[in-house]
Amino acid sequence: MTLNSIFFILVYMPIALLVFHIVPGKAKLPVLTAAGLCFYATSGPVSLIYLGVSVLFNYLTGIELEILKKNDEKKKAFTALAASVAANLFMLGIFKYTTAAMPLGISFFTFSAISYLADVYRGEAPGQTNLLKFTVYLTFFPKIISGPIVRYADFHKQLDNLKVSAASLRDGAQMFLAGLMKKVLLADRLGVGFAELTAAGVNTGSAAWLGVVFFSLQLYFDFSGYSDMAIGLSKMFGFEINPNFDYPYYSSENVSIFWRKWHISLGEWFKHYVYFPLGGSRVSSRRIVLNIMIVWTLTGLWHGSTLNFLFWGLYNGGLVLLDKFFLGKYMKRLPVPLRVGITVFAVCMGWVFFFNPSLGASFMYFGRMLGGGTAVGAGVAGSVFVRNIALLIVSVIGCTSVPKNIFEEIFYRRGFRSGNRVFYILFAVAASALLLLTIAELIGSTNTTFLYAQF
Amino acid sequence: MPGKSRYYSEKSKEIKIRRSRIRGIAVAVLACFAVFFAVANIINPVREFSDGENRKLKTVPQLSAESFADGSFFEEAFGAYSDQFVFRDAFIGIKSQAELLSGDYKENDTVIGEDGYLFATPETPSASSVSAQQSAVNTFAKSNSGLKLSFMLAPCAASVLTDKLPATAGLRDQMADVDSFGEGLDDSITFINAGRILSGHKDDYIYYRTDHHWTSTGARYVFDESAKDLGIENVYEPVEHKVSDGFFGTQASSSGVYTHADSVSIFDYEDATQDYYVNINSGEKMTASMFDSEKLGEKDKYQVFFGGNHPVVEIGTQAGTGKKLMIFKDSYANSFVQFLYPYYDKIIMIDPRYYYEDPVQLMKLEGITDVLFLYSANTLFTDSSLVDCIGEG
Repeated sequence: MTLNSIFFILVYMPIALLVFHIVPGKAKLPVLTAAGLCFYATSGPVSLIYLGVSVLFNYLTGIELEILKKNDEKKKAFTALAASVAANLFMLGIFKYTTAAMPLGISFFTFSAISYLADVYRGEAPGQTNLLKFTVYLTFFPKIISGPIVRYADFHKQLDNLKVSAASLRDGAQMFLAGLMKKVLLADRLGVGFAELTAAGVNTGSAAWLGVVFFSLQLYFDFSGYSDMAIGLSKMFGFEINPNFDYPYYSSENVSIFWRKWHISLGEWFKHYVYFPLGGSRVSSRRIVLNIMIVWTLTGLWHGSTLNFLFWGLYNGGLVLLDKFFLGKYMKRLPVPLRVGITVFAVCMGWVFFFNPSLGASFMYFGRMLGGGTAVGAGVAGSVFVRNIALLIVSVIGCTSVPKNIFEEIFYRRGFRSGNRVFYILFAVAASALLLLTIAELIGSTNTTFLYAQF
Repeated sequence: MPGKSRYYSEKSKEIKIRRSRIRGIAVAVLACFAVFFAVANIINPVREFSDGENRKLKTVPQLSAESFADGSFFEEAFGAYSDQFVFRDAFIGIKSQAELLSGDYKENDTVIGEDGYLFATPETPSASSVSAQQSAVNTFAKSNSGLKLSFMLAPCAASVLTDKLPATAGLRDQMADVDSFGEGLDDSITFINAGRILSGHKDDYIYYRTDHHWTSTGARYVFDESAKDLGIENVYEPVEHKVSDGFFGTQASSSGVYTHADSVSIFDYEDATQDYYVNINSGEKMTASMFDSEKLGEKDKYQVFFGGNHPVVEIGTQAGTGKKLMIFKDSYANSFVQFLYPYYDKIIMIDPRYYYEDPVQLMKLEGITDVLFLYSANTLFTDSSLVDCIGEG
């Protein structure tokens, strides 16, 4: 089950929310745990067993770290930390780099576990003695499959002091719905266009360039939409999670800023648990170069086990260094829109490594963008472009904060001036229509007609 | 200025109230949807089969230790939830109409053209399978050199009714693919590109709007203008009977667009006094008509011709021409045979997709004099059963 499946939206989530909000305070965490485990169990019991092992292992390690720290056995504590982090990473590696069936969301909950161990070791948060609370941290179902990766130091106080209110339910619902529509009405449609280009072999330069545009937009709406759903869902259960995206395509004046606005939770994780421990930027220039490249190598490997992801990481690390040490001063002389344009262009070129299945395929793709390859199926790019103009325009505008500003202007401010109910009705109708359309897209995407199925 | 700051604080307070009300409405909408669809889906009766999609729908699976362990239970169950979803067909329609409104004229490989035409995407032939088919047919021709051999290939509607396509559709030109398929055949085989004939009648109703077949009218033009090539002289005048006005074919299903219904016509011969019999699958069903009117009550009304596709169909007539025809075919032939039968004593239709015996033996046994290969290009270019059936070249 995923957050964007129709069963989850219309059945599982409403029931889980209803039960969660009805039961008395003490029962809320157990309900949340049960809801999370049932949600996770639908992906297969093997995943569930591994998750259980991971929960117990990290829970016990946390307690051990606390005890060692209390007894002032710093070396032993460090050894315990290193060993347990290594064990977590080893298992992640086993699942990622072998053909073994990978437990759903393992990249995300493994990083959550490491965050916990490191925060406890560094004293940024106390070790969790309550197994239930620890289970909720690691298996909180809005975030278990695709994040955001929440740092334990940011999360643990909320476990002790659950704030469930009508306000958080309201805020969460709106955010969840907005994220759902981003995912279904934009990302999934862009995905269809991208798949059509790929299916036709991306044989022409125009098809290749168009493919980059489609994928860059799809990835943004897919991931930021899903993150908004996860954050909104968390809010509905009373948990605050920081935003995971901050209009990266709209306002990033250089590559470093872009990566501070894209998948923020992963960047924060690497900052806190890799970059800072290595000395961060408070070291010699040579060490900075090394530190940045280490972070980006690991980021690449985290995304996938094939060489192209490693290359994607190195490419982006290189961009960051290039900006920091050479081009940054020249960039600053350019007008802001041009800086943003150059940054977005550079990042989007990097996605070519991201969406191709291998390094070789990535370079072949670049070759086609530069005009290599034969022009078979030349009509495909034109057709895909023309049919999706409206979608592309809406998507590009959707990358900016303009829709949000317009929404707030209409429904919060202008509504105030005119002071009547029309805006509430307008909102209810618009929200219902969009939700209906979302359901239609979800149901319609399972329309499979068999032309020759008479037999 | 105390007045102004009071104004602002009141304004922001008001904004807060509005914001929380708007978000409250979002919760209410979500709750209403959840309740409505919960009730509606419970009331909604279980459907086993979707006429629109022409497939069995998933139903709630049995829970077993095995299906739980491999995760297939939940996969099936979630599939059943959306397959059995209330107003499923309407939602599919909403999706396609919304996408059409946004300018996307292609839905599930169906291109939505002018005048309600829903075009199947022309398939791209693979060079290796085309040459395998050509050499199989050529070898077949060599070893049956005493027979009259013809190959008729029809491109799909999108390559003939090009005026009705959106200007930017950028589809493959199957007409050229059909021509080049014919160029690879032996000279002893009469090749007929049905698309070249149909192109002369673009303004007539030659292809169904919502289905991937040619109409009886289209088949008739092709018959009239290819009869001589097929070795038929003195063509009789057939009479048209319209038998249905409410046909929505496979392209309507795959696109979800149900705006222009098709009509279905059949032809027969008043002058041709001879009766005939139809023997489907060697005695499985015997009938005196090639038209199965029961199928007009079903969704796929093209099945009025022979009740659909069968491995082997035999039509015996009293034509007295001494000619016996074997057709290797796909469903395009089903509506073509209505024009052919008065000119042969016997016609045997073989559908290689479902026929697993040796047709050459049957040919010898029956004393076949003429052989016709009749295919739509979209079938021929994506199906390898013809080579399996007549043997590799």
